[in-house]
Amino acid sequence: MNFDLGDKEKQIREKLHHLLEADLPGILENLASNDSDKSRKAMLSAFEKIASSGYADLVFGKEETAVASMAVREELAFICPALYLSLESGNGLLINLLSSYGNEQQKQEILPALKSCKGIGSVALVEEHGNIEDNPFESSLTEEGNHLTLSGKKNMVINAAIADWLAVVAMMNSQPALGIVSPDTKGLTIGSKILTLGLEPSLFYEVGARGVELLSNNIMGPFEGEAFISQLRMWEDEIFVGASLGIMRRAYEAARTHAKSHNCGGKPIVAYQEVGFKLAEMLTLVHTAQLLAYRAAWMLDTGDKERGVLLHCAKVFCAEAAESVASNAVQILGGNGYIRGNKVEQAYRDAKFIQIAGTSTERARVKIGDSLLEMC
Amino acid sequence: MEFSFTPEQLMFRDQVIKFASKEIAPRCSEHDLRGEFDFDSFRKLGEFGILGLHFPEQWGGSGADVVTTVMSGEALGEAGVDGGLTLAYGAHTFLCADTILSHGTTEQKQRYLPKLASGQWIGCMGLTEPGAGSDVASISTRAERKGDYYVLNGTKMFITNGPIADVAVVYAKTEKDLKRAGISAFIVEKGTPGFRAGKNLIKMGVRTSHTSELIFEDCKIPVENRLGREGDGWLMALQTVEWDRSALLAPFIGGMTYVLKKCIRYARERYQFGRPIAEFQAIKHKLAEIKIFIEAARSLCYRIAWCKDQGRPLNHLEAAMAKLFVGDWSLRPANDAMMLHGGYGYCHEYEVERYFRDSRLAPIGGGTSDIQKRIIQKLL
Repeated sequence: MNFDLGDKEKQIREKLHHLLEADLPGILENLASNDSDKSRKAMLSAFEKIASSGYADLVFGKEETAVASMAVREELAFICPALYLSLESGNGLLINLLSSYGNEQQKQEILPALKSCKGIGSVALVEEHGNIEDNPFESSLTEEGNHLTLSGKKNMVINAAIADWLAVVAMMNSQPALGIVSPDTKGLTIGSKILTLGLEPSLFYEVGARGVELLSNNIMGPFEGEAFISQLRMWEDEIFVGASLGIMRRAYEAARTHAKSHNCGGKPIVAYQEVGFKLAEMLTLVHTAQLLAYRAAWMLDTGDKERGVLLHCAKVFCAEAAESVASNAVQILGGNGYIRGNKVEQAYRDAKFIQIAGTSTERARVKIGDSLLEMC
Repeated sequence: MEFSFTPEQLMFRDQVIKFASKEIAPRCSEHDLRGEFDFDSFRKLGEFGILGLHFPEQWGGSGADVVTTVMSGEALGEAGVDGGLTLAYGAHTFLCADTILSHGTTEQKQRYLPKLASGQWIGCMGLTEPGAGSDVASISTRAERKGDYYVLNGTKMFITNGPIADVAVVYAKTEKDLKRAGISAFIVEKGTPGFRAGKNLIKMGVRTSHTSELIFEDCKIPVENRLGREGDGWLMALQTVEWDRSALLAPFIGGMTYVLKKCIRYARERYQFGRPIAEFQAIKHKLAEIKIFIEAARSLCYRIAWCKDQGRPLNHLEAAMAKLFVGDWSLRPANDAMMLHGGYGYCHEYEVERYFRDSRLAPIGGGTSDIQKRIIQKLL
């Protein structure tokens, strides 16, 4: 047993701040642009800084454990949740897919750029109707002669317009498979940025595929059974747990700073129990969420039979804690917290996404229940 | 960062669960119903080695580390041992005996620790007073030095094991005008003239632990029964906090695991609308709530235990957060467990109502949740 973070992850956490913070406002401004070339350039500039911190080697190079990855993920999400999700849900997820299911050619052509953050990845999973749990995918990969044809509509696809590679999940012979395409492939249409509740600058897009032709070496799968989707969801949930930790810490620290510096009745508002006690509850949630998230990650490392349950427990707890902490942070900042652009109102809106994304908190609870009923 | 237990720890945990499931848990419901302390089970805990687990062997213990000690407490809860007995064990071992172990003279250790480790004697701690709970510096029990004796006067309140204890560690003011620096600790034995326990208080939960006042009326205590130096009492009381936030919380978390297993069993067996209620999403959500609480709370307790094993100074902030979380966030899953059982959950036979009542102490005992928030607030 050892509850301390390692030196390496501590150093990367520090470097991330050092490398990103000064340039972050400019990067975010460019990311917000509707000009996808401008957004892409800004993203690659941010990715370069992140990579030079050692983050990419640690997380994508699999040099270290899932626990170490969680520690640096938390920090990047703390600095900028939107940037974190673009990197992890784009590059990180595609790296995991290619590493686990890709052929040698795919690995050689794509992985180096993704892992070094010199390229941008995107994974199109969610269907137009928004549900992937119980409904089969409507997008399809159909064999036609010596090639395959991809058709369908995808929603909430992160990085789609700025990516170098887009992996689209679709049904092939009644089983899920992945087709890897370039965003400028004929027949592929990428809509404009989707306006979202939070996570600005939003880099979510709709993607349409109509008769997109792919060669068989651009396909991963098809995959039998539910294991593929289940694994994909686990990778996503791990990413979203990291996001929750960063978001809630961001909100908590902003609220604490405000409460210690904002005076009322001749003393800082933190001295009032109605504020101080809220902060106490918030910090308790942050601390508890961190420990649960790190333990869930450790179970992924050890292959513990309860790793799936623990990850779902962490997903539910951390996602809901993030919203609760952010909500209380808005309350503590009062009117200031309600003004657009403030860290806490942003965190409040960002946190909602984490409850919905990946395995939603409702589905995760059902899955925890199912697992308990199976195991005990 | 890694969260593994050693094979020896896991083996010991399994042994504790096996022992307690067979020897102790079957007796808990009956004692709870009658509100009686189970002396036999308590002595069995001593015979098994739990009461003095972390004491050095020379004092009747096994020299276990803190993580193992916390783990054995969790195992008791997981075996279905009621909150009353585990509270009695906690007050005995950590609030009384450990204070003697940490601060006592060799003579004091020789006299008390072997008997406390074996369960031959029962210990308690007298700190809280009718007018001073978490505001420890305001205690009014006095200990006046008169030659080779101290004369104790005052009343202690809500003392776990009070009516049944053979020995008490009692905190009193040796300097009445000083706050914390005026507090000293004393060992008081049952039968000492001027010392008596009040009647057992009837409580909502943890009914098998006996709780009472301790009353001191010109009670003469030999100087050699003082623990440490005069004025050290505050720090001694403070040192129990680490145990309070780990070992005393652990049986409670283990108990939640016991309840979760009962819920799973019941959900499978209970049919409504032609199918087991386990198939309903709302039931699965309740099971999930309980599981999430258990897993979140465990890490908090074990982190405190691990830090203590590393010899780190007490982190008051983390200790308060652990207590606050386990206290406040346990109420919903405890309620969920009872609701899942419906009408049966309201009946004694199904045990979840006992757990529900026992769990209500978690945000109150050892410093209420508001007190924990106050501590955290000051440390922000």
